[in-house]
Amino acid sequence: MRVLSRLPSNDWLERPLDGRWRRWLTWCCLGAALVGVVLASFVAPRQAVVRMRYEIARLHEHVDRLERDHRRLVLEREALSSPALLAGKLEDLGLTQVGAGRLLALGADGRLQRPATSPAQPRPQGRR
Amino acid sequence: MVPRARFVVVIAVLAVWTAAVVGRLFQVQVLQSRAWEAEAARQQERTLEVQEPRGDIRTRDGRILAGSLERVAVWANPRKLSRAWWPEVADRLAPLVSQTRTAILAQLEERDGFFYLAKDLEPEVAREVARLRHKGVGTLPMERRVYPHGTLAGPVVGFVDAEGVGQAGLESSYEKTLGGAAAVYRLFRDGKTVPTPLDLRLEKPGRPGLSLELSLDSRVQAVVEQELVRTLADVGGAGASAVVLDPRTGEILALASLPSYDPGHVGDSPRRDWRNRAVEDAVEPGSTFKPFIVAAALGTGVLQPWEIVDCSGGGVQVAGEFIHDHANYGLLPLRAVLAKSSNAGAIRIAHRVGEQQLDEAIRLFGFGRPTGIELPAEASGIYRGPAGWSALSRAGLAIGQEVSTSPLQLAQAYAAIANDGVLVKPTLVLATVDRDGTIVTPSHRPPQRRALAPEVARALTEMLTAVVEEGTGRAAAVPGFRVAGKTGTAQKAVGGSYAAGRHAAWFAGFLPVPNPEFVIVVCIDEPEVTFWAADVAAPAFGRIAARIVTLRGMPPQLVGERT
Repeated sequence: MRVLSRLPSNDWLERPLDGRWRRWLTWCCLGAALVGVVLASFVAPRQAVVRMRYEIARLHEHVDRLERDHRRLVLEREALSSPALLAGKLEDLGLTQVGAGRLLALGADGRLQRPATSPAQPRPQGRR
Repeated sequence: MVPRARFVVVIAVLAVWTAAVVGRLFQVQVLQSRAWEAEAARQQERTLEVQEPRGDIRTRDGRILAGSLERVAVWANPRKLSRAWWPEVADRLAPLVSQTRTAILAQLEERDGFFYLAKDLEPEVAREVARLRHKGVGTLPMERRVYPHGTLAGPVVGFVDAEGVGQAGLESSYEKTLGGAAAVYRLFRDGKTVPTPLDLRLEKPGRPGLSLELSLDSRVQAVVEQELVRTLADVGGAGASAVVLDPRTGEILALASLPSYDPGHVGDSPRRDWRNRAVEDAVEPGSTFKPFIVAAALGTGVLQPWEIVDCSGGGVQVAGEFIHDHANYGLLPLRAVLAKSSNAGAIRIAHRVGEQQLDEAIRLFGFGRPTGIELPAEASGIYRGPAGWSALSRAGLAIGQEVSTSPLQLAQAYAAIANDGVLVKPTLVLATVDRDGTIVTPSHRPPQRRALAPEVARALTEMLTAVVEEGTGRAAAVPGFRVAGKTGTAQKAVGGSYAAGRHAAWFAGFLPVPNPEFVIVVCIDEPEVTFWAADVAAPAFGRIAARIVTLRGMPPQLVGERT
């Protein structure tokens, strides 16, 4: 605070007021700086922790979402590759089932051999 | 009143008041403390159960027959939502729950308290709803049970109800294992009964459900179901069932029941189709029971494998009743008795075995008792001991009457023959596994017992191969493999007597011989085009067996021409 006008007879007042005021202001500034330093040293690392926690939470959420998507896709793949479904679509896929009698086996001598068919005697009718 | 007296009065009044307050405090804080604490807890605390994810059901080849997806449900409570906010809430919820603004407003108007606005929504919806910051609207986590393979092994897997609780099949019998345990949280409410999330306290940790690893092979299961569908399309019928199991371990590779259902859309199928015929239905086995009569006779030594059996007369007279045979076979070697499925021969053999010995032999194969498979509602079948027999009973048993069995029980019994006489309990669940894939409960070796001597089992196996190679089961033959088996055509008993035109056609057998790896039992219920097992069940068996050996890449035992 500055004393802007005074009577000449009050000159004695200016010096002590200005001196106290400056000292007080200086202490305030020093105090504020001290508080600022303390706060900065206290808050800054915690702010980093808070930011990190936020980031971790965000990543967790992202991971959860990816896991959910993965799970959904796994189940969809299961449905699309179901043996029952594929077997029903053999013709659409241009495939055919190979009967057991048509499956050739590789013998020990390195030659392909055909499975023997069972005896083909006529079956009597009406048997239990 | 003099000042001193006034002072004394004031002090006395204050003392009384203080004593009253202290006394009341003592009453409330000490004498009634527990009651008031409980009351405070009742008003302030609330428990919240959060269900842990349900376990999967997987086949032995890693296919997921049942799995769960995380979802959310959106709820609303008009009593906690100021009417002034309704339009805004409806506007913001409409795109999230795929409903119109008008529909949401109508529901808020109609309902009086908590209700679900929509279920089975993407979990991301929860965050959007939380942003509304309204006390009367929120989300709850839920699960959607998914059955990616549809009807494949439907009656085995079973289904869950709207609350996610198993109602049939393995979903029901393994409810506790699959469902896990819900986590219990305790949360506190402030003076306005609003929950304060910062005071959320875990009271009891949850346990995610364990997954089941089944012995089923998805490809074998698909093959069996396909062939049963084809058989029903060819010959008609009320239903069909089949079991494929490994006789050495009792592990069930396929368990099929038709008509089947999709556990994800169980409401689309009538309730009668929900049952698992292979496990829950018991019918007379017909001639598939004859090998057990022969086993009893061979086991007790009253019959030798090389013996000739009298199958003459076109039938046999028992207790005043003439039981017909299919033809007058004359004298037949024992293997031909089974190959031709002679009723007269089987009945004469049964009468050579003592009642108690026959009873013991039949019981050793597990008839009349449930196998103990891990499925609900298993049929025990009907088998009365000698105490309930009439003069006709042994003859009836010889041709598979007066006894009923489920396809699973019959498979267990045939597996004993295939396994050199050792009966193994059928099993469906190999292990329970946690979310990380760690085995929690490993498969335990099912209990075993000897049902017949190994040499009897081998002799019987040879006789059963004759059924397929030269007898009634020729349609069950598989090129390149020796197959043993037996046909059985049984009349169905309805209301205490045999119903005309209603039959069950059976074929039970195993391959390859020797060292069988698969026991297969096929049962066609009430076939229409023809009812003989040789024409209905045996071809189905043959097709199933041929496709399984192809699937498994088994090299043929019997080779013919070389290319």
